[in-house]
Parts: sequence; C-alpha cells; structure tokens
Amino acid sequence: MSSYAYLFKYIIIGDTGVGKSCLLLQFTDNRFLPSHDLTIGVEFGARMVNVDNKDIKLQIWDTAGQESFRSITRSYYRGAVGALLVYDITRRDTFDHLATWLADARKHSNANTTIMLIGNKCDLEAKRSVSREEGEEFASKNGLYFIETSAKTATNVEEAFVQTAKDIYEKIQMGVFDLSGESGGVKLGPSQPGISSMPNMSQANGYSCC
Amino acid sequence: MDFFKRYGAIGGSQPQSPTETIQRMADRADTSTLLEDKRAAVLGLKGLSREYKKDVGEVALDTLLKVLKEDSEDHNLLKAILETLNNLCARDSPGDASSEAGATLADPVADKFSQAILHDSDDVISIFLGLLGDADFYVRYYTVQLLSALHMCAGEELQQRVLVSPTGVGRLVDLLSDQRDIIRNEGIQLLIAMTRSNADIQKIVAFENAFDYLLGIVDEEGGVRGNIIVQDCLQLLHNLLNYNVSNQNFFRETSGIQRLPSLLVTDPSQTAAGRSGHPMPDADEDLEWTSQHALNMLVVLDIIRMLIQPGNTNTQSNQTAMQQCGIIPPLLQLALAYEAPPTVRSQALYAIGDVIRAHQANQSLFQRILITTAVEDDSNTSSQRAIPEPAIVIVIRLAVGKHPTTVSANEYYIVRAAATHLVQAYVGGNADAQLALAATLTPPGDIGTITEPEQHQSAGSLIVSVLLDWREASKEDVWRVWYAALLLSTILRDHSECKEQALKITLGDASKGEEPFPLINEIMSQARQATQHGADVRVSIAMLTLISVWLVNFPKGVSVFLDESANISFIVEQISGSTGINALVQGVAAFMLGLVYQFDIDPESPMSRESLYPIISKRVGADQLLIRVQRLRDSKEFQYAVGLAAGTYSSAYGGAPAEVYFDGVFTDLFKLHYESFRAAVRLGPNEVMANPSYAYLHGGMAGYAGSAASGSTPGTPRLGATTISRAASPSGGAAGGIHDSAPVNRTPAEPTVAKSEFDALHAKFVEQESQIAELKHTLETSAAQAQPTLDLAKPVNDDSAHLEQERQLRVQAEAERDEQADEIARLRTQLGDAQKQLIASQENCQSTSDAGDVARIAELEQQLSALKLEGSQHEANWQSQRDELQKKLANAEKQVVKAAAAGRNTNKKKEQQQATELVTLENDVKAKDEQIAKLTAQVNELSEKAKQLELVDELKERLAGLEKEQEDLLVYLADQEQQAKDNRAKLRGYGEAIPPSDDEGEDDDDEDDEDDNE
Repeated sequence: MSSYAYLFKYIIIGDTGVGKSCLLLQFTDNRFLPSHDLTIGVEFGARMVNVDNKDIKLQIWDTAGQESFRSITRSYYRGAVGALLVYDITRRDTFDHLATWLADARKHSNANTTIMLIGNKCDLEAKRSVSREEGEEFASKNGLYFIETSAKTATNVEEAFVQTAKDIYEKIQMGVFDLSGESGGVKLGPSQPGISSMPNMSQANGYSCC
Repeated sequence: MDFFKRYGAIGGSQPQSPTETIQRMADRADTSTLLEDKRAAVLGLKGLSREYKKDVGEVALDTLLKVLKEDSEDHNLLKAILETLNNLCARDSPGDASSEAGATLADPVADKFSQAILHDSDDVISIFLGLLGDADFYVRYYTVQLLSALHMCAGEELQQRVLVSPTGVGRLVDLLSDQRDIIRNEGIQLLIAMTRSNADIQKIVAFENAFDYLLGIVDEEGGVRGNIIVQDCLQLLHNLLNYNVSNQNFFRETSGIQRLPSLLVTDPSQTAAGRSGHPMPDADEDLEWTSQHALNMLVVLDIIRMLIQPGNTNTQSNQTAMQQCGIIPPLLQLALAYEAPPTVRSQALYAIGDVIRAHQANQSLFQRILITTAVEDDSNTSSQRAIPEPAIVIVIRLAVGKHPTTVSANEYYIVRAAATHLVQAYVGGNADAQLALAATLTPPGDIGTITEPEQHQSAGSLIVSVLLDWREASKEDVWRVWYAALLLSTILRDHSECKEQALKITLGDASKGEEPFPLINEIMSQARQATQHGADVRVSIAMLTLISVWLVNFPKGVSVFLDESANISFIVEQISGSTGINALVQGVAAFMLGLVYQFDIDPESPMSRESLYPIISKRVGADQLLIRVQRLRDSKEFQYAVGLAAGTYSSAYGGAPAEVYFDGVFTDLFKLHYESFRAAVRLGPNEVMANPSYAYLHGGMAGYAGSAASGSTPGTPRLGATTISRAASPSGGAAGGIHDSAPVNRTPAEPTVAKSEFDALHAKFVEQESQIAELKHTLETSAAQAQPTLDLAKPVNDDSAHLEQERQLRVQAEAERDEQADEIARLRTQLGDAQKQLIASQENCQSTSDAGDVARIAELEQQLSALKLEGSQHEANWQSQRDELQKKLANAEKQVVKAAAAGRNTNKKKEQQQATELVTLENDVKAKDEQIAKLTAQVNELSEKAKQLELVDELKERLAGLEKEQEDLLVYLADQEQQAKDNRAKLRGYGEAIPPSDDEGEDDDDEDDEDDNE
C-alpha cells in the first residue's frame, strides 16, 4: 500500500441513520457494528482500491446526517470528487429527502463530482418500503449511478465504492479534471514520476508507506 | 485638528465637535450618490477611527457595513472600509514597551463592535470570506487582519459563522498558498487561532490539504532551521492533530508520518532552501543551535510524541509507520547532538522511547542499532578509535555519564530522565531485553575506573561502576548515581532471572586472595557509608530502594542479604535511631526490613524468620516499623514521586530536580506491597505463609515480564480455529472451530480408575475402543471438512447472477453432502452402540470373572470388529462419493471461469476476485485430496488391525446380515446394560471403584488414544 497512482476524495451524505458510517466501516475494516454511535461532524477513513490495474487511494469523509451538522458537512462538498448519497430502503422519508440532498450536493460541489445513489439495508427485504425501481428511476432521472447495498452483509459495498472510482478514473482519462488543481478532490499519487501535485514531497518519495 | 476644519468647511459652518463631524460623514457615506463623495466620507471616518474609535463605531458602523455590501466593487472604497473596521475592532495593544510584548488588553469597545459585525443580519462575514479570494493585495490583507481582530474579540462566534459558510474554511486554507508572504503569514496566524480548540474547523482545514501546504512551507523556509514562520506552520500542524483522532488517521493515510523524519534533519544543505542555493540567514554559524531552531524542533518532537501517546488506538500503527520510515536514526542523532539544547535532546529521547514502548518489533529493532560516536566528554577530544556500540549502551551512558561542562547538572537532569525513560520503554514488557541487559552486569575491573574514559564499557558494568564509585560520581552531579540505581532497578524489576543473574556478581579478585563479596552486599555497604558520611541523601535512598526492588519476591536474594550481618544491623540502626537520621532513609529502611522478613523463606537462609521475628517485634517493634513506613508514605517527597509516576512521567521532563527523591519503580513496588507489608510484620514467623498474598510464590516467580508474555508462550502449539489438518489428533476433536457437527459430551477431568485384576482384558478393550474412537473421530473431522469446502463455493456464487447453473450444482452437491452426513450419523450411532456394548461388557467383566461372561464378551468383541469393518467400508464408500463431489466442484469451477470470462469481460476486478477464490478452492481440494489419502491410510491401518483379531473370517460371513441384527442387538444390549447395572450395584456394595458413566469410559479411551499418538 505504499504508493498509489491517484488519490480520490469521497464524501458520504444522506439522512441520519441510513448507515453511512456502517458502509464506511464495512468498506475499510470489513466490519459491521449493529449499533453505531451517531457521527459527530465528520469522520475520516481510507482504503486502497484497484481500477484498471492502478492503485487508487480513496480518502473518505463520512458526514453526520443530522440537520444540525448540515452546515459543517457542506464544507466538504467542494473538495470531494465522489459523493455517495445514501438512503435507507426501509424508510421512505430518507428516500423522499434525496431531492434536498442532491440539490445541496449540486449546489456546493464540483460540477464533475460523481454521485452514486445508494439504497442501503437491502438485507431487510421484508421491511422494504422503497422499491428498487423507484431508486433506479430517481437515479436515471438525475443522472446518478445507482446500487442497492447492505452494510450488514457487505453486499455491493465494495462495488459502490469501486464503481464510483471507475467513473472518476474514466473522467480523468477523458481529461475532465485538472490534476494540478488542489481542491478538486483528485490528486496524483506521490509515486508518479515526473509529475507531482505535491511539489515538496520529493523527500518523502523514497520512504515506504505504513 | 486640520481635519475638522477641512471637513467643517465643506458644511460651511463653524468648527464642529468630532461627534458632529462623524455624524455628518456617516450621513454622507450613507446617502451620497456619487462614489467620490462616498469614498471621501469613508476616508474621513477612517482617519478618525483610531482616535475616536468609540464615536465612529457607534455612529457609523451600520453605514460602513451597508456601503460595504452595496459598493464592494470599488476597491478603494472597499479598502477604506476594511481599514476602518479593522481600527474599530482591533484591541488596543499597550503602547509602552514596559508591558508584556504582544499582549492585548481587554477592550470592551472593540468587543462590542466585533459582536455587532458578527451578528449582522445580512451575514457580512460571508462577504468577508468572499473577499479573501479578492485579487487585490490590500483587500485580502485587510480582510485577514479584520478576521483576526474579530477572532481576538469573539473567537467562538466567528468560528461558528465561518463554519456556516460552505467555502469559508476553504478560503482560509487557500491563504496558505498565497504567493505573498505577508498574506500567507497572516493566514497562518488566523488559522492557528481558529484551530486551537475547534475540532470541526481542524477537520475541514485538514480536508483542504493543509498538511501538504504546511509541510511545503516548512521545507521552503529552510526546515527546522528556518524562521518563526516554520514554527507557526508546525504549531498549526500541531493544532490540527492534537486531540483529533480523525485528523491523525488522515495524517497517517496521507503519508504525513513519512514526512516527519525529514523535519528532524538539521543539516541545512538537505532542505529546500539549502538545495536551491539560498544562503541561509545564519550560514556562518551552520551548526549553531539558535533558540528559534530549538523551538521549531521542540514542536516537531511534540507532534511526533502526540501521535504515539501510550494507550491510544492508533499508537501501534503509528509506531510501526514511524519506525518504517526511519524516524529513529535522526532522533538518536538529535539525542546525541552534543551542541543541542538539553530540552531538545531530552524530547528526542522521550520520542524514541515512545516509538518503541510496548511495541515488540520496534523494541527488537532498537536492540540491533549500533552507533559510532565520538566521546561526549569534551575534555576528551583526542582522537579515539570509534567502535560501534549498541544504541542502548549509549543511551545508558547519557543517563549516568558525566554532563557536558557547558550545561549545569540540573539542566542536564532532563536528559538523564529522558534516557532512563527510554531504557524503561525498551525493557517494559520485553523480558528478553531485560535479561540481555542483566547479562551485561559485570563487576568493574577495578573500583575507580570511573575516572577512566567511559567508552566501551558494557551497559551493565557502566551502571555498576557509577553506582559503586558514587563518591566520585556524585561529586558534581548526584543524579548520575541516582539514575544508575534507577536503571539497575529497571533491569531487575519483577524478573527473577535477572535478579538471580545480578546476585551472582561478586567483587574482589579471588586470585589476589580476596574474598568474593556479592554485589548486593557491596551496594548495601556503600549505602551504609553514604549514610554515615552524610552524603546527599538521594544516594542512600537510591541504593536502598534499589535493594528493595531486588529483594522483593526473591527469597534467595534475601538469604544472601542476610548472610552479611552488617546489613540488618545497619537497617535496624536506621529505624530505631531518633536523631541525625533522615526520615526518608528511615522509612525506606523500615520498609526493607518488612520485605526481608516477608521473603525470608529460603530454606538455606542464614537467618530464619524465627530469628528475625524478635528484631521486628521486640527490638524495633511492629508499631514503630509501621509508623516509619507511614511517615515515608505521607512525606511530600514520596507523594511527589507518586504523582509524577501517575501522571505522564515523560511529559513532566522527569519532574523538578529539587523535588525528586524517589523513582516510579520504587513507588510502584511500594503501592503493590504496602498492604501485605502491613499484615506481614504483625504475623509470627510461622503464620506468614497463611497469607494468601504469598500464593504466587509457590506458583513460580516469573515476574511481570514473564507473565506479560504468557499469552504467547513459545513452543506451545496453538490450535487455530482454521486448522483443518489435525485429523491425527483426536483430542482436538469436534471442539475445533470448523463446524461443530456433533460435539462430544465429555467431562474434562475423569477420576482415575484403579487398575485391577482385569488389566489384561481391560487393555484389550481400551485398544479396541480407541480404534473405534479414532474411526469415529475421523468421520467427524471429515464431515466437518466437507462443510467448509462447500461453503467456499458460496462467495463465488454470490456476486454473479450469471452463475445460476453453478448454483444448481451446488444445491446438488449439498444434497449429496447431506446424504453423506446421514450416512455418517448412522455410522456414528452404530459406533456409539458398539461402545455402549463394550462398556457394558467391561463392567460385566469387572463385576464377575464368570467364564460365560468372558465368552459373551468375546462374542461382543467379534460383533464390534464387524461393526468396525462395516465402518471402514462406509468410509471407503463415502470417500468415493467425495471424489465425485470434488469432480463436480471442479466442474463448477470451470463453469464459473467460463461464465466469468463470457459475461464479465469488462469487470476485471470481479474476475480476479473469482479467480483467486477459485485458486483457493483448488488449493482446498488439493488439501482435501491429501487428507483423503491420509484417511485411506488410516482406514487401511484399521482394517489391518481388524484382521489381526481372531475369528475375522467368521465375522466377515456375518457381515451381510449384521445390519438387520442391529435392532436385535439393541434389545440385547438393553438387557446387558440392565445386567451391568445390577452387577455394578452389587460391586459397589463391595466397595469397588466403578466408573460411573459411559461417557467417562469413552473419555478415558480418548486420553489413551492421544497418548498413543504422541
């Protein structure tokens, strides 16, 4: 895990209790905690994924879903290149709020940010109150990727993060991002010979990472 | 006053009061339609805003904010407004130089205006934040200044306002990359203030890449050798990480830790400024440590230590990361930098200690570090041949060696404390290191060698020589002796082997006809001399506490101690004396006497507890003893050491030298033994052993270092939950974590069955039963193994909708497996029956030696062999089914590969995943093959054994009909059992020992079986 080709910054947003922190924990630690504390403000997690044989480091900021933290979490939109917008398939209100979340995200984030719509808790089929089709429809209407996941059983969790990374990677290949920009949420890894977004990292290049 | 005339003239009236002028100008700024007029009015207000701050603010603040919102395009106007607002909100700094530099007075006026601005209904703060992005230098500069002024007056409110703006913090962080140093530096100051306590802002600042910016600036400005800007950047970095776990994780994940070692480099040619050829401001005095340099370095060291605070969740991974990126060598270099300030050297040593503390890998790496260094003593500049030495020796030399002549003993104290902390971190939980150090304890060649160069002594002999030559060593620096004693305590502490090792050391050259004298008694003798000659009381205390640490839990040491009669008489003298005796020494002596009495349980003790008892009870008196110790406990000197040890010993720089008498090793010991001490001294010589606190003495005295490692005692094979290939060890059984298909009900400890006259018969039974057990176990294990194989197939299926076919196959395979399980269950039942039969017969046999019974037993035996053979057949059958299953699985694999290749060309990742899973599966199947081969071998073996039994042929004939007979057999068995019960009852009546249940019989056999295998 020493070097990586790219570094992407993600944020996870959505109503409180939809399982944002659990998704992150499942993705980074392969763990599931049935009772997770409310996230205060924002928490950080990271993991490496592989897309097109390139190591990509994902830095993920898991935001608090509660309304009172909304203004703080907005500060993270601008710097993120991927946003996971999560709702709970067993709670229709969390689906109904998606429009607000999306408007917020569109308003504050970079135009090129890839947004992945996630219907979480798909293991609770019996309690489902938002159909898969509805989720798909919302996503296609708004030009989002869509996937149903379960942070509990780990179903599609990996896919949700990796698919987002793939889309961002393709955008990079198409030259959508200005990699020299500092706040875009995309950075070249320190291992890239010649180019470096971190001009003063030259000394650190020789060291192997943790 | 020129001013008023001028503006007064505009109105054409008489000279006005300032208030009137301000009012007029405010009106004009508010209502003028011409930009020039507005500008002129605002400039006028600006001119008055310093001198008439209160008036301008009260009258014109609202107007100024209104104009700002309306006409923010005009840069000149904007600048004037910002400057005016700055004047209104800035707290007055005391003008005269006599007051503290940089301090600002509380300023209610400025605070009031700041509040007014912050609570502006139109959120003017967001306008300011927007202005931070303005291209104009002054607009940006004044805006930063204004925000700083607002933060000074109402920090928390400003932070809340900034957080509300989605881009607010981002704009502040953008200041860090401003090319204009003045703005950048103002930005750093503002961020330092805003991140001091607000975790939300800390996180967003970090999110906005502040780590990169800051480390970049530090490098640009010449690294730690740079100016105050470097210190500010480091301070900001410190703020971002302090108490913020999320940011610490982020720092590690962004390779921040990897960049720390370069911050420790003091050679200017290795920093960016040095590389680009900029002459350093202090180029002439290259290696001089300026105070700025030291301040910068201290912040870096503080950051390092903050990331590896003991007990934190991330400490272990951060320690690993730090070690891997090579942080120890530059830290050691700093620690050994003769010219560096003691504070820096001390913190560097603490940092090394923190990097290796409770981290086995780092500890053992540290053990291997060798250093070549010049002699530190500056009187010894002559070129010496430098020989590499272990780092630990050099660190110990820092702790007990001479202090540099340029630094006073008390200033150098913190280096000794830090070096000792490092040694303690090195041996803590590291019994091997402790023992390795103890092994270097050798008597110094000649007492008095301390005056010789300290170079190239072993760690242990260095400590011993300083300790024994305390007169010389403590002449100018008593801390050398004090820390030598503490280091020896650290080496001996709770480690009986080390204590033993040290006990073997004797002084005196036998070849010169000198009587060898144990080191422990030599130290006591030195303590006596130090006390009698009125040396610094710390010398006596250090030596006596060291001996206490040595003797506790160490009866053999107590024996040697008691062998020298002067020791006890010295201690008693100290306790009973009333004048001219230091109360602290007295207390330690009393505590020691208690320890000696407690642990005087060595059979070869020259002075038994019986002979010690009268000394305690009569000569000294138990009450007296307790009072002396209580007085020690309550002394402020002792309490200070307790507090120091309880708090973060390290961050306190080892405490204030004037206050330090006792060390943490002794206070820990005292706390642990105080209660038992109190109880012990009141007990008679033969009572003590009843005290439960001595139980551990009999259980072994490995000490804390040993017990810490007991979780992973080397050589103890561990049955991991995933160990599959343990079919050969029946004791593992179904209790393993694989699949608990049929947990066997066993009692762990069975009563021993008295061997009686039935030994021969019994042995036979045992043999057969063990065979059955083996067979049964084999079946169980195999059944358990069948499960994971199938489970493995599951993930392959899960993620692919295309693999329906494969799924069906799996269902089929599962069904087959179920069938097999049924078969196995059936076999098991049969075996169980056979076992019951056996036991029943055994009991029969034991109860009576009737010949008819023997015959019946023989018959039973035959039936049993038949059953066993049948078992082998089933086994073989089952095996072939397994083979088939494997083939099917292999087929399924192929199909998976095909399906994956066809359907998922684009999804390479998944394919890879599946491929790896398939590889695992294949490996698994291979493993299964091996296991099956093993099983076959076992089955063959079994059948061999069966053949050896008598009447095998006959049994084979009966084999076909056996299954039908099974039911009859059960009825018959019930009979037998009843009979057996009767017999048992009868036998019990005769007082024979009879195993009470079937299960126990089985257990017994398992046990035997295991023995056989071993």
